[in-house]
Amino acid sequence: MSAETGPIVVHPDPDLEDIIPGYLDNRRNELPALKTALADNDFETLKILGHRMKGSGAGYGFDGITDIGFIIEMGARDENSEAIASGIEQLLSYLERVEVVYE
Amino acid sequence: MASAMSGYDSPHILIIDDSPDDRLLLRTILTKSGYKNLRMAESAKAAFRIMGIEGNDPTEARVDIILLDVMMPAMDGLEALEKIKSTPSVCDIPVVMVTGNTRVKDLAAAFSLGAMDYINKPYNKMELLARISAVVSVQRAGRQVKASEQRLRDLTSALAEGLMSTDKEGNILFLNPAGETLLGWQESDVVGKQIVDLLCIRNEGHLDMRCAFLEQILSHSISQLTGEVTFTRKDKSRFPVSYTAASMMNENEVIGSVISFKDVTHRKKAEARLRLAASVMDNSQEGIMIVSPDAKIQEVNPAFSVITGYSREEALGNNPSMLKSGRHDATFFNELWNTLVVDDCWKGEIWNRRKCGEVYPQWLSISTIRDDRDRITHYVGLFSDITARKEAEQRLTHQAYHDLLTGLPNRMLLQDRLRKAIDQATRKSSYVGILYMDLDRFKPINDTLGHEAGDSVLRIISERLKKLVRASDTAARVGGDEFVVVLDEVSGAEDVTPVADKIIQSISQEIHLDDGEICSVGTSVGMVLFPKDGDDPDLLLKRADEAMYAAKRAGRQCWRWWSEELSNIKEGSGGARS
Repeated sequence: MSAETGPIVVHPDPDLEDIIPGYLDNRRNELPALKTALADNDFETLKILGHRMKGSGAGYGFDGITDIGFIIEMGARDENSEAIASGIEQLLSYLERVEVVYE
Repeated sequence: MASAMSGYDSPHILIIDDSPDDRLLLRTILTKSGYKNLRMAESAKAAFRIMGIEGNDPTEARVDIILLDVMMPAMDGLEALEKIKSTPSVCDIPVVMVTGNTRVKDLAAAFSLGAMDYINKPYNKMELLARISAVVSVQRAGRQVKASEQRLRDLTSALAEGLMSTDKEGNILFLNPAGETLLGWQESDVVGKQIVDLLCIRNEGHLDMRCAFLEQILSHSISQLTGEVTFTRKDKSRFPVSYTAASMMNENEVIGSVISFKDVTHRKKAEARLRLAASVMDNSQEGIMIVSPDAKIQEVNPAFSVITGYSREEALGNNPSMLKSGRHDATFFNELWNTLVVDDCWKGEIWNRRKCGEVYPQWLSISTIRDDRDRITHYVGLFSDITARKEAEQRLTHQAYHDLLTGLPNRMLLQDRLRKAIDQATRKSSYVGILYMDLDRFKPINDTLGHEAGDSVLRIISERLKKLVRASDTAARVGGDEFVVVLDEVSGAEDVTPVADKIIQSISQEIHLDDGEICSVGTSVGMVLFPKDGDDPDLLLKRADEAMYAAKRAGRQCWRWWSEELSNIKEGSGGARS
């Protein structure tokens, strides 16, 4: 399994176990809003959503989400639709592959 | 972390973040770490409502620490921070900025607006907790300082004395409510102002020397300095204060001063009154004696010693009875004390005894002094020696009833004595003999030898008359050369005529005047007997006078009894007076 397709194993803080599933659900639920905003060139919404992802991801233990949030926020700031689309794809992929393991 | 909360209230933390995920994450991390009192706000507006500084339904919830996201829609974190720091009710709450963009410009702006710290997103749990813990410590320390300040303020507010502190330059830092009342200034009016300029008197630009203590305590380490000085109020009026001042030290350096002060106007006035009272007491011509309720002399004035002869030292501690003369009985003193108890004062004449043993009259006024609870604390006795007054009175009385030249009773006293003699004779069924006489050949003496010689003759004759009668009898001068003798309690005419004979014989004796002149006079005596010849003093005297003229008519140098026939003889027919 390649790095791009294989599972992404994450070890969040066990204290956050209760809120991790909700967080990931929120990201998944956010995907349509991201896509709609991209289609509408609503860079302001994209900037806010990207900024929030960037600020929250690593805090929950998902460094990848922080990275993707950064891409989307920067893309929105630059009004770079391709970068944003790439970020959304990466988020989709990340959410499909992420596996949470508490130690 | 939970253990770190023990012993303290868990701080009330307000989290302001538009991201629901971040709010939830922070809540979870902090809750798991033992923080209990967490409030969430999705916007600055919601936060202001929670803090009670904005909105229609403010809650004024307690907030000890604010975690404030920088990047938020509508009002961002920096704008919200600015409002918080400019709102007095919340400006002291420590604010920690939370930022995903660690842009130096934003951080600098946040710190310049009053942020205490910042936390980066995404959160690093350890860093997050460490920073919040540090802020909590600072916040607690701040609260303790505030509580301590409040306690100090409550304490100083409860003081009746004014209290102020200054920095080392003498600028006022603090003034308590009592100080505000005393000076007429509000603390906010005087903070930062020079204490010396504000309170001290300057005379032609020179500082009142008594204010030098302020400079002393700021230039030297002085643990305590007390004194009195005059302060100026806001309305420029002045009042005396008693102060205690001390330097405030930080290690070995003077960093300011603390001054407590109280208005001593009343005390000063009381002192002035006491000085005046003491001066009055010292200079009074009246003796003053202050006595305790248990009858011990507590204080006397110099006049006391002058009058009584006892020095202050001899008098203090003694019972006032040391002054008693023994002239008054127990009834007198009982009445005195009864009056004193009822009226709180007694006034009257009393005879006392000086140290030398002399008994003298004094006018004494005793007042009772009572305290607020109506208990007797002292008796104050004021007295003056009225010996001279008494003597003057006696002299006046004597002069009113006696002849100035001879000292014999005058007509007024004669009439009184005669009346008494009649009363007594009536009671005892005895007689009173009355002899009326004038001097024969007296007028030539006056004319040839002068009035002084005449006066000497009258004095000598008077002395002879006094020697001829008993002490109970009365020899009086009733006119120029007219005399009357009243003989008390005689058995009848046989007791009177020998006296008349002696008088005639005695008066006719040669008179040796001081200048060597020798002269002589005679007398004619008219006599009446009470009750035989009348019972009215005036009538008796009149009849005696008639009898005297009968004696003159009979050739002078003899006596005659009054008889009814004499009343029928017209006056003047018996010959001229001497």
